[in-house]
Amino acid sequence: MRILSNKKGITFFIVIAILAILLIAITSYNSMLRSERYTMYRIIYGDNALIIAEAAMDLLQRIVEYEFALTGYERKNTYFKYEDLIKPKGEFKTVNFDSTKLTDVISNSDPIKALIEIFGGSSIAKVKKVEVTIDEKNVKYFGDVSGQSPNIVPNLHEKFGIITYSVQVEYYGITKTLNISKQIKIINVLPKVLRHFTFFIKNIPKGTDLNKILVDDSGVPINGKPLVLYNGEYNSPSSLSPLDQGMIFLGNQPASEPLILKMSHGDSTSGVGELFHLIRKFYLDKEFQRRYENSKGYQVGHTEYGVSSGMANARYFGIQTPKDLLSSMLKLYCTPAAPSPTRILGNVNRCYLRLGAYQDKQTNGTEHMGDMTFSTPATFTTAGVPPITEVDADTHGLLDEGGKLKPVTAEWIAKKILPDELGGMDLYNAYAEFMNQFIDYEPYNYSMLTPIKDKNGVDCDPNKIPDFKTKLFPSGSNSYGGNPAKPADEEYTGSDLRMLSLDEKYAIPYASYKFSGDKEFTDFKKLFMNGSQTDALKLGLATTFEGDIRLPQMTIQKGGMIICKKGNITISGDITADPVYNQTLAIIAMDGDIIVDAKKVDAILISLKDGLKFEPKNSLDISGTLAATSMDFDKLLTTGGKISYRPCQAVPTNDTNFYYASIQPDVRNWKVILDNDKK
Amino acid sequence: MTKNKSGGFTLIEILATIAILGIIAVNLLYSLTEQHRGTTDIVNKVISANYAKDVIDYLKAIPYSDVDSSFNGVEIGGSTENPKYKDLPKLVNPFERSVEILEFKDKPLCSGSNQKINYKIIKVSVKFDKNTNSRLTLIGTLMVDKFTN
Repeated sequence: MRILSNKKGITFFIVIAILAILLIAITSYNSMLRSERYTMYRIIYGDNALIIAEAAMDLLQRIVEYEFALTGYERKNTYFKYEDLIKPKGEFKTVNFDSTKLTDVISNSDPIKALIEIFGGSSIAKVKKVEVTIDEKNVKYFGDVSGQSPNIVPNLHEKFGIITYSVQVEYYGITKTLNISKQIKIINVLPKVLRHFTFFIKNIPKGTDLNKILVDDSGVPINGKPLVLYNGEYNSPSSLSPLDQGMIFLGNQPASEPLILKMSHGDSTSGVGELFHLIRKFYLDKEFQRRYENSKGYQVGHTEYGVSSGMANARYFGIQTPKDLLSSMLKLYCTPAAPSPTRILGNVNRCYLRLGAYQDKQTNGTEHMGDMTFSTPATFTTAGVPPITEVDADTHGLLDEGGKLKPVTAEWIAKKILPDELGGMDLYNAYAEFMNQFIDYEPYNYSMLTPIKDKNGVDCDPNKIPDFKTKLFPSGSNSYGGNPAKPADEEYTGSDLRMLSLDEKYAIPYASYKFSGDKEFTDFKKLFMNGSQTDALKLGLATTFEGDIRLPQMTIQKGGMIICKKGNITISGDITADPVYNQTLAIIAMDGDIIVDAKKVDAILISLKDGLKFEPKNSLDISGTLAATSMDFDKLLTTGGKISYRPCQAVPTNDTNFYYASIQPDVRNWKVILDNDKK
Repeated sequence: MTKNKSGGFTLIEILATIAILGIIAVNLLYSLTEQHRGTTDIVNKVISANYAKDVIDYLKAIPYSDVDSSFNGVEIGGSTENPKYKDLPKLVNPFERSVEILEFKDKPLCSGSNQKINYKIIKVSVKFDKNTNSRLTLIGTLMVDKFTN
């Protein structure tokens, strides 16, 4: 009985145990299934969060791109300080965009709200945080890494780096963060050097005759058409800075073979003749050295002075007003370390300079035109630092205590360049008075290129500075001061434009968009000419083409660079600067021609290799710069035309208004190599 | 008799045991079935989400201007196939996918904003049970064109 009773108990126990095991197994199985379901839901929720994050990221990138687009010229940035972005090397710090504002605008944007509704509403999904950062650790400066042209001092404001976007989204309690990094560039969209020039020709081969055009006794060209170079006005209402005037460079002539360039001023058909001598480097006046061997380097500035053929006709040689006197200057490049290659004889302070017009008939210098053949080239040095005249009362005396002609005075120069038969001392005195007008009205010599500033750094009106003359003339231990005024533009310090090599290191590092050539110009138009005004160009950055390109008619509303790396650029329609925006476009051919087949081009034209070609049917009319390594002057002077310098393009490198920050397209090119492909 | 009574189970005992086991088994089976149904459901939702994401990825690879209402429509796995999506993995029965593209032009970025943008919302829903909306996966994405101000 007990045994049997025990058997029943065991059986019962076994049944219970089996049931328990079954229960446990099934419960575990259920738990496992539940866990798997939970995991799968987490995956789905995470995926959904990522989908929302991707959409928010898309919108965020558009917002930031738009924000960057504002750095072109508008400067109405909301999420970061533009000034922080363009700080130079040493001052630049990590830029954190305003996360609160960005999160707010993204999460409250209509598109994201609409999207979140699809996913179940704001109680289920939300954008938690948005961040955009440019870490200073990831920023490099073009001057450090891109191998700039050796003679161009790097611009330390220009940089590239990584911008990181981060979007955090929560969906059913699952939080996902999406991060994306892209490259950015922050560059100045004007060509670094040549924007300061009206006309720049790097090489003029020996023996080149630039004086192609003959004029009659009235100054009217008999053959050819002149090129008028307009360098701006010194007394322009908009600016008093001489930096607002264009420079002219005609380089590479050896000192032994001065390049004699005959010019006339005025933009009328006929003109008043001038004579200019351009030589490669200074050479010493042996007589000067003999007389003033202890002078410790009296030197004559390189800048604008000379003889006007009209000087005998007006009180000061035809100069009626200071504005007339100073309204245009032929400025040539120079630094103390590399003296100007140019010595100019002739009054170039005129509004217009006409290249290549001269009269082949010899005159006596009183007929307002022609080759002043009586004027012999002077041989004084042109180091360009000290002034050409003294400012004290004795300056205007012609002779020193020993009865010798004082060196380095306007009178002395007159003596050097004007023969006695023209008038002797009277003429020299008049000439000195004439020249001293220049000294009175312009920041002379290097000072001319380095405007005097007040304590707040604001350019001063020279005419309102009581001790202006004193400031102009350096004081110190040497003959005319141990502290010569600083060079014009420190960008060129230690450089010589004749040594300037212009290659792809110059411009290509800045290119933000690349196109194959004209076949992709449609894409270019989609990107940069897509406004309601069909010919309006809104560039704001640098683009490159690697093939021939034909530019149509364009109205520049936002400037920048169009660079053709290989091939020709044909300008087939007028390129006009919209006066409302006052922007500058640079058109650069690095390995081809720029073919101008338009009536008017408001742009900086730079041809780094072969030169520029001109269609004879059109007279050239450029508002900007024309720069080339070499040029066919025969062709140029059959076409003729006018180049007017645009002061707005002469901004200093640290001028914040011409920097543009762009987000670079992703250029990664992933390639899968299968094992079978390996050889 | 006594031996027999003591050595075996009575009919009542066996019936009670069977009843208890039955109740337990039914509950367990029900639980298992439910779990299985839930798992199937989530698996289908994963598949649905993938079908939906296929469309989103497909459309986002197309230029903004080319994505239009011609991509709208309903596909039913195994029968109706939208030729616009011929490059996508085929739907299998019982999945059913519908796409709706909503286009917005010159809309303020957000309330009170001066910035206006063009954008499109791609709304994709995938069903795997035609009889109930609870078997529906609904996701969407944005395509942002540009600011238009």
